[in-house]
Amino acid sequence: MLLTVDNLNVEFLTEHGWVRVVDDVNFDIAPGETLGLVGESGSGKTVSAMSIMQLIPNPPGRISQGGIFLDGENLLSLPDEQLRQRRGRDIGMVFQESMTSLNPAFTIGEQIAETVRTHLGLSRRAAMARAVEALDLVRIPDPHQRARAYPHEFSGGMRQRAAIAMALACEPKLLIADEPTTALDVTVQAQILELLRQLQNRFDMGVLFVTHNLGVVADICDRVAVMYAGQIVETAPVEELFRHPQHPYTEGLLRAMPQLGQAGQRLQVIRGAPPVPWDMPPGCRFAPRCPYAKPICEQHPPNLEGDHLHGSRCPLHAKLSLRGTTHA
Amino acid sequence: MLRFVLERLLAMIPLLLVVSLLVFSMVLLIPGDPAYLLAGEDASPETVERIREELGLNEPVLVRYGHWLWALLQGDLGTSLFSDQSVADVLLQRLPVTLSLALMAIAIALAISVPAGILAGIRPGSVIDRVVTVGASAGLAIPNFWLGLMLALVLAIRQPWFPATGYVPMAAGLGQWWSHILLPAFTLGFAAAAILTRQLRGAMVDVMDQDFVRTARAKGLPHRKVVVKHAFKNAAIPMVTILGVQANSLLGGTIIVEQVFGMPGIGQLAVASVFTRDLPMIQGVVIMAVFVAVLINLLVDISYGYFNPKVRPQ
Repeated sequence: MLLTVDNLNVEFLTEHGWVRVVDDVNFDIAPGETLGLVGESGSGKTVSAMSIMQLIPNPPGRISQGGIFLDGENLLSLPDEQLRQRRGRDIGMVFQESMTSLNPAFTIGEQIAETVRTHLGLSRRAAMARAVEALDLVRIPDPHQRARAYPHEFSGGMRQRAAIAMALACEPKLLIADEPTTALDVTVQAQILELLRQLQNRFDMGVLFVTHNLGVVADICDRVAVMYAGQIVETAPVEELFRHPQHPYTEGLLRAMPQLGQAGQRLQVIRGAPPVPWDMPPGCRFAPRCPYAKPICEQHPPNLEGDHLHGSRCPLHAKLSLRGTTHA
Repeated sequence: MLRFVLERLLAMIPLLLVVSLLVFSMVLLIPGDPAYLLAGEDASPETVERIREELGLNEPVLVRYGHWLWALLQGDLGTSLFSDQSVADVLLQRLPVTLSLALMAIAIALAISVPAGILAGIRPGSVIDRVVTVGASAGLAIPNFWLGLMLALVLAIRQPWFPATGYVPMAAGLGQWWSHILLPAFTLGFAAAAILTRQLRGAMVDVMDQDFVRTARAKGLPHRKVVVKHAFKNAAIPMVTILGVQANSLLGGTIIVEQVFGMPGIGQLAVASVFTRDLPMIQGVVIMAVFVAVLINLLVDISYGYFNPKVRPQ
């Protein structure tokens, strides 16, 4: 495995004391594979992704338990300096807000080149040439000229391309993309996804794709892990998850997804709101909102069960026949 | 860039004209007749009239302003009413003292505030942050004349490490110049250092939370580079604005500090001229002060473009 996240627990210090926002998260990614980490805001998906790079602000956050293994090496036990050398070189990261995640005070070319200089020890000139190549790779027209431009001179889609160029400049083994297309309009979104797919094939990268958009997941991911209230509630290959969901929350998400050919039908929303992390339900965390909930659901916290291919945290999943979609 | 500077220089012209008009009007607003003053108490009315004629005081105000402005443009600021020296000569002779003092004060203010502001701002609430914040509050609270007197008392009189008064030009030896300028420059720069430190600390706290700082970390840049390159260049933008304002008030501060340390600069000249009602000299001082202030603002605007590419002229 390229990346293994093992029993990850992340806590934040709040006015309610230490609160666990990521609870026993496990997943892995093989080289060339794309794992989608799906969930709504506050489900812990972004915190999980940030934890891999240890970029959660500390204080108030801390990784209280678990292991994050890149090529078998536990990133959590690396000294700071060695972790720094992995960041940007072995793991690249693309963020959601392309407007604010590039530094307004430096040129695009310089921001890419400094990564290359830091990790590959290239000269200023060679690093800049590499930056121009990277911009060309993400299909920014006239990359020589554009390398000298500042972020505010780029459009949203172009900035996100530049951010991808920056993340890929050192040809990392793993790319973490945190909602990289959420802030873009739909046509640009499709272009960026296509670009990511091609670059992934080219470099045989593992990709962790964090999103709340199941449509995007269907488009780009091989496997999916669905997160709810800090836990992974279901994990399966994309096709399998869409056709045969084994957790009521996943079914709810699929039903809430607008689909072609079903115009005129009302979208079905999941009623209620997710629990707050300092007041979690004692049993299944989805039980208070679940249309299938039985008394047993509220008694014991369920484990993620199933085989390696398809896992579900629903205690009733064997007895339920949930409706999927063929849309994927 | 060159065009930007030229445009800004051209834009200074109307401002300087307005200032010159105001400065010229000072003469008209001040009670008393300069001719009487020059002629002395025992002079006959004829003598006074002759002096008035010589000075052109009988002509209409606008004509007099025209003559005065024309002379001003040729660098002729008139003659001191008391020493018969050309005002321009006196100003040029004293300018290096004040400029040395003000520039050194700015250098000291920056040398203190940049490291202090950065160190405090990257770890808000830490011990360093608290020490810096308390120090900055003290710096704001201490009046500079008191600080100057204390420094002179302790470091020049009790421990005669530095001269207590006077000024030695740089040409006479760098070490001499340095030892004379250090205490006054520190006195003058201390309050500015406090203000700049607070400003930079606040800006650093904000900037360190920005997404692009997280990006810089995610790229695997060393911590020092994340802070000094990525965060500081952005945090410096508000600081530069404050620096411009501070530089102007430093010029005002030289008046007091030059008095305390007995330095023959423009500030001391301004005070002396006011007490003796040496009008041409006061006019000269004011015009030069305005000119320097406008130049400082131009420098601030130019450096603004360096830190913030968004405001750079296309």
